[in-house]
Amino acid sequence: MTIDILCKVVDNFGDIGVAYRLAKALTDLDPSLALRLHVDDLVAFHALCPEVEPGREVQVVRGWTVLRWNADWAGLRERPPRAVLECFACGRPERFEEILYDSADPEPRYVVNIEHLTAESWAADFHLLPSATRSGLVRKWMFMPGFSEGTGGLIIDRRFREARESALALDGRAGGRAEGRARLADELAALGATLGAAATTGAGGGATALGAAAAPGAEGSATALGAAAAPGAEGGATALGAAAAPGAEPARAMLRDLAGRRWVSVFSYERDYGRVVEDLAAADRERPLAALAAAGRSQACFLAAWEAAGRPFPVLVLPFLPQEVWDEVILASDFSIVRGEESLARAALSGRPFLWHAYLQDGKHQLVKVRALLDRLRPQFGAADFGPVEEAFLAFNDRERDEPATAGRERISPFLAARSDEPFRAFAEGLAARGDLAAHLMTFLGKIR
Amino acid sequence: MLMTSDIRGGTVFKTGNDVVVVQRMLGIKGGRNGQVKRLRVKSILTGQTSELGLDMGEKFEDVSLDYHTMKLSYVDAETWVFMDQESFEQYELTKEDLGDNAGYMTPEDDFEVEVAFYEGKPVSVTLPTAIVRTITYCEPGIKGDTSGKSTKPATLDTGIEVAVPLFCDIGTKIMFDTRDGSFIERAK
Repeated sequence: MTIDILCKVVDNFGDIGVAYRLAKALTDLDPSLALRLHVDDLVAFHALCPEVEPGREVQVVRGWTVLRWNADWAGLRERPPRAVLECFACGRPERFEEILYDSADPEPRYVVNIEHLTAESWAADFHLLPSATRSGLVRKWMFMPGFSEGTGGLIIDRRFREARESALALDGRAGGRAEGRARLADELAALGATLGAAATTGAGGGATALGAAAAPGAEGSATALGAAAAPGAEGGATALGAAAAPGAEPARAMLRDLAGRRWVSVFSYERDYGRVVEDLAAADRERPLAALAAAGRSQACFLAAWEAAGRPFPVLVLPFLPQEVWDEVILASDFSIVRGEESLARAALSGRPFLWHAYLQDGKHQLVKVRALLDRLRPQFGAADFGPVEEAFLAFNDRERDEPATAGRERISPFLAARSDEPFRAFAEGLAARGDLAAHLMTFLGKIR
Repeated sequence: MLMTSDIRGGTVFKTGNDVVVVQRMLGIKGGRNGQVKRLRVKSILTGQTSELGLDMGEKFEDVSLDYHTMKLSYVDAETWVFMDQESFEQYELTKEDLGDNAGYMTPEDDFEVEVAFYEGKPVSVTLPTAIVRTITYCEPGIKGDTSGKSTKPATLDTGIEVAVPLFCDIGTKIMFDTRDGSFIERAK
């Protein structure tokens, strides 16, 4: 069967992240599937999947045909679309649309719109709802990812599933989690992660020596990809990676030493991290930790707050990472602050405590989505334990669109407390038990075709 | 072509091999990229009703309709009777055909509506975009909350329930959008 996956990158990397993971999961289920991915931003795709060449109209990657949006490719006429997965109602490229709606082609076509992930209860009302199109030959349905029965669930591709199982198995061994982190630290070092030490944040929050991915405007650009800071760069950032300078081995050893600490990964939208850094510093005094500042919109903010607090704990400054490596970071972290939908899904499945930074919407509508997620988490907690978690989620997300990204009253110590893992682990087990979205999707395609 | 953003209660559009009228908007949910809608539609060709989804990625052919200006004359059980203001002929639509619109008008109203005809048969009604109705029941108003962002249910003089800001009280006249039932402002 040939399946066309359509994806337009609106902003950030969530859209292409989902499409990429979906392609992996479908291939895991059936390697004989002929997948064709139509993507409008191949630079963003390359960031997550370095094998993709941004400059090519048509290419084969991992056995998939990857096409630039609206590419003029004869293959579409030779094998017209029959099963189409549209990501987030992105629409179709013009040439694709003409072929899809060609009334001279008597074969039926099936389109599934995979909508945004939400924990809200309406997802079940919309899941598998037949959707209107203008042609009797083009039949369409909505498919809702979700956290509950009656939705399509979450994508669990084979590599993520194995990494997850391995991470959870390591938890059962003394020192297991540190062992896993030591291996990952080597990989991060090879990709260009640096120890935060420099303080050149400058106007606009652009960290210079601290991993090129932190540069303003660099997110998503080819130059932001794994470019390690130069040796001896201002502030003494230690550079590792392919262009390793003299002294790189001791620096790699320093990164590996971080494996013995608790890891807190930070990946959000812009906000003031003063309160969070305060809490992390206090937690560090009880039990050492290290923060992993992911590339992107939160990196400069987090580093600025860390700097202002006097650098109270080590920070590993991450370059932009391929999707599989980012998965490992979340699975290796004792606590993750995540944004968007794709990373939320990974954090929710990780079994570790997490805090979600929702996409800012008018009228604080993001709080509706946050409350819906909290309602899914709540049954896993005792009332006394859930209160502080709920308060942190709501405070972290309580902002109007035009308000500055100020710190709220969030306290993140509840996420680092002893036994804080248990309710999040129970939540993750429940989600994993519902199975893989890609499998549900294939079952559905089998029924409708 | 009709875009999905144009489709609301009373819209008639062609989908596949069918011509349908939207009886009710069952849900409109917004995300980053636009809305998804859940509709109850009735086939003009077969009379069957069904639920349909709509996302922002679709376009539909326009349907050729004739429009006549009318007023609601009276309501007889489940039948709403309209009078053409030029010919004075009367036409009937059921409460089911009117969907949400049935809850927005009474025979005492002075405003005119547009009744759409498909191949000579009345199929839907379009009301003025904004109309004024009176709240007959709601929880007491909370002074000071004029943002309108928090809402409570309120019953209107037509008997339907809509969401209104917390400051509204019994007797408050409100203007609301008939396209989606949303509150616009307190009427003067």
